[in-house]
Amino acid sequence: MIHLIKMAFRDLGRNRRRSFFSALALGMGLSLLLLMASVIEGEVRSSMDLSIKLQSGHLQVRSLTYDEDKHSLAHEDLVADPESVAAQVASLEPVQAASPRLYASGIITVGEETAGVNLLGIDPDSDTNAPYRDGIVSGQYLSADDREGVLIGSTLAANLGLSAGDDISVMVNTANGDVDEQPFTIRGTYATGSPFYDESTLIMPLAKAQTITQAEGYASTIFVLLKDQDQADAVSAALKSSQYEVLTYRQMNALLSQIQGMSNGYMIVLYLIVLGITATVIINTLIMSVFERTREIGILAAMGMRPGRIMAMFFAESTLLTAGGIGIGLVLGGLLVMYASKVGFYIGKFGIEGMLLSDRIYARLTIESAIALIITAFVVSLLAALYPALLAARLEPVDALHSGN
Amino acid sequence: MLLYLRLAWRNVWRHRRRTLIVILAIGLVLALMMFYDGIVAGFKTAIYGNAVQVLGGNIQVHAAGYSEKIGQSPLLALPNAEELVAAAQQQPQVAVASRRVITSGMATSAEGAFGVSIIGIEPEKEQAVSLEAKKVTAGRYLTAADTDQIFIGQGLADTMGIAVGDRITLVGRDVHKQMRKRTMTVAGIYDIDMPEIEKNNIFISLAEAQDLYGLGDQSTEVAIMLHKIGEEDAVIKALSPLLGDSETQTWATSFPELVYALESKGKVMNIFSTIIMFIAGIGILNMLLMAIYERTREIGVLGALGMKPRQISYLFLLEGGMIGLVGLAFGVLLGLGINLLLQQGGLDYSAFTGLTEYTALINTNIYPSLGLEKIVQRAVVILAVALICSYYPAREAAKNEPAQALHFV
Amino acid sequence: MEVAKIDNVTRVYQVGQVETQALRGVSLTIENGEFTALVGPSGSGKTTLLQLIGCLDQPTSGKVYVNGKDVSALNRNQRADMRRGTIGFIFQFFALIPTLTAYENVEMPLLLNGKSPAERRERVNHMLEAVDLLDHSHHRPDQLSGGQQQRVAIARALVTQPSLILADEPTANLDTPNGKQVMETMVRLNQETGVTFVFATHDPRVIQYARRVVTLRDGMIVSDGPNAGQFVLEKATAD
Repeated sequence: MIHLIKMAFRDLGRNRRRSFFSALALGMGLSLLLLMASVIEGEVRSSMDLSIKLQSGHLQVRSLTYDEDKHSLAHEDLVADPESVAAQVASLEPVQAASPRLYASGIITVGEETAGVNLLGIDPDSDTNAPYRDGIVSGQYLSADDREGVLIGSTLAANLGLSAGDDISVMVNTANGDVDEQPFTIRGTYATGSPFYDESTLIMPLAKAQTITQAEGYASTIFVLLKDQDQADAVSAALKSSQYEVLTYRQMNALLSQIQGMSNGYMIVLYLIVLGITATVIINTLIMSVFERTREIGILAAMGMRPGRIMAMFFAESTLLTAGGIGIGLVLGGLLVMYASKVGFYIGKFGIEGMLLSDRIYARLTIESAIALIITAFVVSLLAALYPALLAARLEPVDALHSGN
Repeated sequence: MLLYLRLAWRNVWRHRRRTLIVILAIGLVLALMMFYDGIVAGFKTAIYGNAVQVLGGNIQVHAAGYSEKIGQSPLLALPNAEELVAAAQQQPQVAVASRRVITSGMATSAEGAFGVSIIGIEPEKEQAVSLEAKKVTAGRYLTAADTDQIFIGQGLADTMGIAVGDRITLVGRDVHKQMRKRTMTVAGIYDIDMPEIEKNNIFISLAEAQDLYGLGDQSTEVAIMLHKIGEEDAVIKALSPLLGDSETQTWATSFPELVYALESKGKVMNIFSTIIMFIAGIGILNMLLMAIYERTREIGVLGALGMKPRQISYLFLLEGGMIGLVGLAFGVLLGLGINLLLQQGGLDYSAFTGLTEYTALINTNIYPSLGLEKIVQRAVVILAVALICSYYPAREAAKNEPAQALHFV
Repeated sequence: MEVAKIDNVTRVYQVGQVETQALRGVSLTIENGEFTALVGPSGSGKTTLLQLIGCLDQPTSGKVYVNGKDVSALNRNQRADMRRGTIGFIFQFFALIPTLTAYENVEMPLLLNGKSPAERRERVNHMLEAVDLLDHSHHRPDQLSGGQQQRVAIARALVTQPSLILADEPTANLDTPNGKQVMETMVRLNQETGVTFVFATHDPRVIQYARRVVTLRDGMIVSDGPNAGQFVLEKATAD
């Protein structure tokens, strides 16, 4: 075995240039795929992180009839006495924090301009709302007893030419199916990293949101963050009751998983095409190698080397070539991924409600996908060696020895 | 020259198997590019085709300053709307020109509140060309005389839990920035298979919208539907004397983000496919290096016959270029084959419908085009890469001293 | 008139760490119309000498003149031009381009010289007739025998009407009847066209055709004079 590898190594060394270029081809293909895999992984991961942080949390406790697409405020669709439910949830050991949230639809008007928004009532003091507190870019955060203050996203503020201290008029739907309109003052603007979210969400203290929507004592959902997201299912099971619906972040981000699944499917097709093209380079290199060494193979066969062993020689060569290519690919791809994970790609405002995206995507490479790619590259390259190896093994010693000089 | 061509061409086919494998690789690269181009074109067709139908015609004319505030649907009255409509109607390319009033508002029912665009239309004019009018599933289309009647899509009806005859509250802002609230009755429901789009729009009669939002007899938009896509510029040109400083948009310019998204993806794909082509190009490079080694003596003979080093390197560049060309031809066939095959069934894209406001416009399978949109650009890339990858071997070939080459035996 | 003149030429090859002195001070003059053999064992410097005269290689020291022109300091392109117009080569291996037919092989130097199609056709057919292969003009090299291939090579060497033909072991890979035919073709063309032939060989059957024999050993000329085997030539022309 060692002997075989030594021979293969020397044979590759005979035509160093060609061996190098073949390995380079594989390396280029591999680094390209590593970059793509890491960008997609980064995209999905950042989207999931943003969603957990801003929209879904790790868990939510809702009324059985609540429909998040409708922002219904009818009392039977809401959670009654949300503070005590939140406190109950928060008392569980794996829970980091839990607080009620109230959602409503609204239109804000300032001067001649209007914009439709999602109104979000939060408990400003809860840790679950740290992203807004930490995301304040101008002005101040809210206090729980503020009856006139709101926070607006920085994108929306820019669109409407607003800044902290400006007055706006907010119209919202109410629990009895009617609408109400009231003036508010912008206390501050926040940025979450998702331009879509920052363009569509208006935040006010829960108490005021409950008053304006005539939903005093109710909340749309209890927003729960866990210490460890892997415990979501366990906690969900513990909270299960006939009164409430408990949803995990996976259930709430189903669209994201669906998109991820779909893009994984496309990626596999792309892997195979790129590696297939790479394989043609390897096949040709080995065919040339067989061709050049026809006489030599004839001599080896004449000395009694079995076809199987001749094949093994070429497989060993392909293995070494592949190892070299993977080495090049890891270095090249590693550099690309490092760059992409530091600098990222600017994609602008591209997110939507089911899939929040920040305006810049950072690549992220998981060990799993790197290993999966390496194994795929290896298998494809070994398959590529099959034809040349068979070609060599099938040579008749007499013909091989006769072949031209 | 003919001699070089002949020599190079015959050299291409000296080792058939080797050449075929390289050609296969190049063909795969091109087929991949064509497949992508075909899908993008298919998307554009699917989205744009519906965009024209659903989003207000081929051309929209608004008052000056409208586009700056487009997110807020400002109630800026278009001064000479009637004149424009009459003039547009004279153009042979125009199917229908009509006035509209568009403002943003909120519809509330017991189920909740929903932000919508309230669109006042001239039903008697739009009926002939409106997709919504053709797809009425319950109740009826609007008439000019309707006052507190609305016409909505199935998507909105489902979300709000309402049916024909039900009443909802519709709030919109008038020209004096006052909120106008009115109870409206659902007169009809249409279904165009695009729930995400349907959710966003409520149609009322133009007269009602003018009355509700204080526009008098003015309107905010003139929408022009053409018989055929692509004649927008000609119509805009014909109307230009009347347009003044009004803003004109075609269906394509009103979707700049879509174009941007497709183009930025396209750029990534360009880089990506060029790199893959270079991988295939390494195949050419290796093959030519091998050929130089095999033909050392022959190159020496050519040199002895008086061929200059530069001419010898041309020979190899030509050979590489020819392999690129043959690969190109094979790739075109392969790409056409794949796209033709996909055209039979189309690709199911329904999972992505809810993804963005653009993909919401896709209500059927995507049918890729033949993928020949960028074939010239793709061909140039392939030939350029083939030549770049032949350059190094070509230079090597020219380096051979004939005396050494002949000694080589 | 002299066609080529070698003036105290040395040629040293560097192969890896080893220096090999292929020529150690050779002077030689080739007159127009000669039919001269360079003889000597392998490694005596025959091929090197031919390549220097043929502008394929450059001397380490000394001068080489072809048609009175100093070619020892020409660059690669200038040497290619020199070869193309004035020198024809015949190699020991059948140095035809395998992808071209006999006709195309002979035509190639004319194409490189930019001759008109009509002139090319006339000259190629003339040369193929002269080597008695007109009926094989559309055969590829692998469809021709060794002797036929070498005669195509002779036709190709002569087609540009060069002043000098250099042949390196032209019969080494041929059997006796084929070798004879090739040599007789060369003798005949030398007499008919007056073109100068210089050929390297160590085969006594070939040497006998030469009118002048230059003997090399270890990179130096050891003898130079008319050939005793002149009778063969007489016999060949008498046929």
